[in-house]
Amino acid sequence: MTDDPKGDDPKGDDPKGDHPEDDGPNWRPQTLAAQAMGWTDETTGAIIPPIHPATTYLRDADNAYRRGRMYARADNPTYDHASDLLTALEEGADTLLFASGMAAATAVFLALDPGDHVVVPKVMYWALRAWLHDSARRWGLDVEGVASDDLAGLAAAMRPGQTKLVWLETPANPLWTVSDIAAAAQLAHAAGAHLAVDSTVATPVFTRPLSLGADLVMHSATKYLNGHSDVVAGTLTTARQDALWGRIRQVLVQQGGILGAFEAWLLQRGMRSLFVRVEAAAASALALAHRLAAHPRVAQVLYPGLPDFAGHQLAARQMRGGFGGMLSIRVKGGEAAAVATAAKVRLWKRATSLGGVESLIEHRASVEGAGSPVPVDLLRLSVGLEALEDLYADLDQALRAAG
Amino acid sequence: MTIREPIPYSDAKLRRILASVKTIALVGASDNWNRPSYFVMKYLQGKGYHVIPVNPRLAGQALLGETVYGALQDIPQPVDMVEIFRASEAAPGIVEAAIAIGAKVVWMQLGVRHDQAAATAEAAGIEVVMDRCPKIEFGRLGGELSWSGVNTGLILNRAPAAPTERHRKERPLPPRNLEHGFAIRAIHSGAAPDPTTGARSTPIYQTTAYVFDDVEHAASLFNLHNFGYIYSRLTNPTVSVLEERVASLEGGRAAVAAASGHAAQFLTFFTLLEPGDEFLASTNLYGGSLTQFGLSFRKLGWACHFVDPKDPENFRRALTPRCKAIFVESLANPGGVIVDLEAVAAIAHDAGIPFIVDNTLATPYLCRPIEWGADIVCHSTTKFLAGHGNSLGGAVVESGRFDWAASDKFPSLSQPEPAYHGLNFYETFGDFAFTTKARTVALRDFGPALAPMNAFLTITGIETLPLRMERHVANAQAVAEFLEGHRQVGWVSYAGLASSPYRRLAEKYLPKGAGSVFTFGVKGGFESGIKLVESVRLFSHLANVGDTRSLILHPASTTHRQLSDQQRLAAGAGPDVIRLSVGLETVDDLIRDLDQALAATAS
Repeated sequence: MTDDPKGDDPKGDDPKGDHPEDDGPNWRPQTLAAQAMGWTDETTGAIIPPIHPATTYLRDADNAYRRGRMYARADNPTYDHASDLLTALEEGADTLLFASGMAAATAVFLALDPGDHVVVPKVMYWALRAWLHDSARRWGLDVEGVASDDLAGLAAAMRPGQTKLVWLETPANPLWTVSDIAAAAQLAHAAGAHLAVDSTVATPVFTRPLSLGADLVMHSATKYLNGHSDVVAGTLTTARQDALWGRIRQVLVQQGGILGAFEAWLLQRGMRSLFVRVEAAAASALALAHRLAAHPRVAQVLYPGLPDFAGHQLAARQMRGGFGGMLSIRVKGGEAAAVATAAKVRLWKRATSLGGVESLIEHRASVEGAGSPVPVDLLRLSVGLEALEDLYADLDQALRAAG
Repeated sequence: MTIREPIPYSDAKLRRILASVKTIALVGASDNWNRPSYFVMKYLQGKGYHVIPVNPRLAGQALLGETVYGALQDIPQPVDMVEIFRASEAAPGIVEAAIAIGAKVVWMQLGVRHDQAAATAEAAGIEVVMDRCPKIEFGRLGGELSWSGVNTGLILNRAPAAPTERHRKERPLPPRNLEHGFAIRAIHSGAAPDPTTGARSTPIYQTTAYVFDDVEHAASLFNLHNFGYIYSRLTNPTVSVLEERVASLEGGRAAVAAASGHAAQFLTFFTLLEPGDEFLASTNLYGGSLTQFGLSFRKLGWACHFVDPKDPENFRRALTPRCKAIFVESLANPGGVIVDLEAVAAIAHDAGIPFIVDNTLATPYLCRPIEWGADIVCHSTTKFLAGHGNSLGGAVVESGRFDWAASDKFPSLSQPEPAYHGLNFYETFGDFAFTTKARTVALRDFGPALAPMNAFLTITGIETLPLRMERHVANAQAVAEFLEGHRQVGWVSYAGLASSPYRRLAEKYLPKGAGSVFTFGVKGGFESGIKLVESVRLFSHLANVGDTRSLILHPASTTHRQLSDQQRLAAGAGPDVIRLSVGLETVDDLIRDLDQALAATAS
């Protein structure tokens, strides 16, 4: 097919093309991301991976599948580009792509057995919290909520031999509670449990949970990994190929919450600019946090980068190079003032989700409803890539107009 | 180069020859890097053949790393195959020498044929191939020619393998090449399983560029010495599947895709015409084509003379010395006019110019203009080929039968082309020279390339073309018959009706049905036309045709509004004219919708 016939095995040694780290220097994460692992197509030389809509793959005449792929529910070459890159960025052993962040997160719990004890944070992404306290319990998991930033409380919750999973989310949505991954890993492992971390907000730009001792890291890839508010996706990355990972893969393939090929392709496209996007958003978030803290209509700013934030010292140790692009403000005047502020913005978009290039504002308490730990005067801010002055000016006029 | 029917060598024979020979003596090797023999030598070397150049003028010199010999007898080692890159008259002498040195194969280059010399060689136990290029045949059998949108004739259920790849199990090929049915080609042509992954569906190569193996590889691609991908403005693996598929369905040699039907027409005429050239076109064309040809092309120095196609002889009468082509729509939009293709083709060929047919509304399922003498077929693939109203695109197909060198009318094809470093396209690429030049000059320099995602959606649409067209024409026939009997309808222009003046031509050129786009006249004129399109509930009021959905348009107030009253009437777009594109819905519902909307025009 090419001018350089490649011997008998059409796959060669490396089924996924040329990876620069295989024989080159140890490329830095920014380099790996920008080039999506330096992949090129051996058939055509294409420098961008093709989108494989194929649902099925050829088998050989003797019924073997020497190319390694059989059916696109289990795998798809288009997945490899996003998953290999994320595995490298998270310093893990393998990554699976899911149809959504919820599909990824619930797959971890569904890989456990009924009766297993799991420890989860009280402050966490509300949809997963709702699922854990309803569906997971009905399915038979023994779900225990703790204040995950309280190590003594976390230690007390552990039941050696019975606790199978500790779940952390740090910083945790939408109060941005920071939890100690390394300490939690020690506690979990001492009890014979796995530690899984939802690192959606931190992203691999600022935190590598697996290198701190976690066993699994989960992302709602809808957010920063894709970054353009045009893909719903989730990921899990494992520190090692173990029995739990095998069961998680089984949950994915058998329950079928797989990502579409086009979405996987968009995801690898979005991840190429991960570092510049996340670093820019975090720089703007930090500046906004400082300025809003001094705003007369703001009662409190919740942001791990502020020195007076409860988890700041831990965040400064655990997060490298920044504190993320998410912050929340509590508006003077209570719920009415908060809702009125969100109503008055012109540039910020009133919408749920986070981590996109456009800045979003949301009154979380009205979304999360009963049982939410979120104060009613809280507005969640997802800082995008717009000019900082425009973002601040718009919030400033909205806060004043609402006051 | 004169056009003759190619000798139908089987793929099995060509593959066996190319797989068995190792040493090739190339008689007539040139040291000019821009000559076809140089292309062939360099390409075959790259495929692992030992090519020994023979040329008395260069004897003793080195060419591409090999010593040139003055004659076959001077070569000191055994030769498996002798390739004749000389005029046909030289073949007998070279065959005698080939017999003397014990060659097993004599291969005469594209355009070289000598039946008597072939008989002599075969009597001596030598296998003979004539009028073929080993580079093109190697590339065709190995799948590389597909990258240029050439119709390889291959239908594969596994990735293509080069004729030299021996690691796969031997699969005996039939002694004669099989003809494949239309529906087979609609699904398979151009699309083999992905060699890297085995993926059965065509990947969407959403990439802009392609990695070169090395500088030498890059140079050989830019010089067109090798087939391959450079940049997606020129070629793209997903787009080339579409190109080969459309070429195959039309029975053409090769195709080039474009971003839209209009872009396809631009590529066609830019490849044919010089400033000051002229061409003839039917007056019954899509309104956008009338504007493109009559106004925009004029700014490029090309004059279009419009001709009423109802009498084919009108074209002969309108010819001028600088006319370089005749262009018609096989089934005209919007009037449902059918042109007598065979008669117009004869007039074009008498004048030594190509006959171009826009086959958008008929599709190759209903009509294949090349079978009636067309040399070039244009498509807006946006319409029935893609078929779902979700992707724009265009395509140009060449028959491979037009002799560009028969006159001096087409210097940019038959003589060295300054826009491609003096390459002679016709001499080098033969029966796919036109699309190669359209791609490497017009597409390169003007850039209306088709997006890979649109190509993917279009090839997926084409897979069901035969099924969709059957239903389209059945629904259109029923709707037309209903309208003809409606008291609010003045006339119906559908060639499938017994009352149509085009009924005879439809039976000849469109035996499976007269398409699903046609016009009728609503009583009450312009105002009733507007009332009707605003009263329908199922038909969508928009300016497209060839969708799964049924569409309705009042041309006088939309697509044809930029034309003069006279042009509108000539194009069949008068004030009372309503155009329908009948879709795939339940036909009773469509008829009921038109019935209630027609009733509204009467109130």
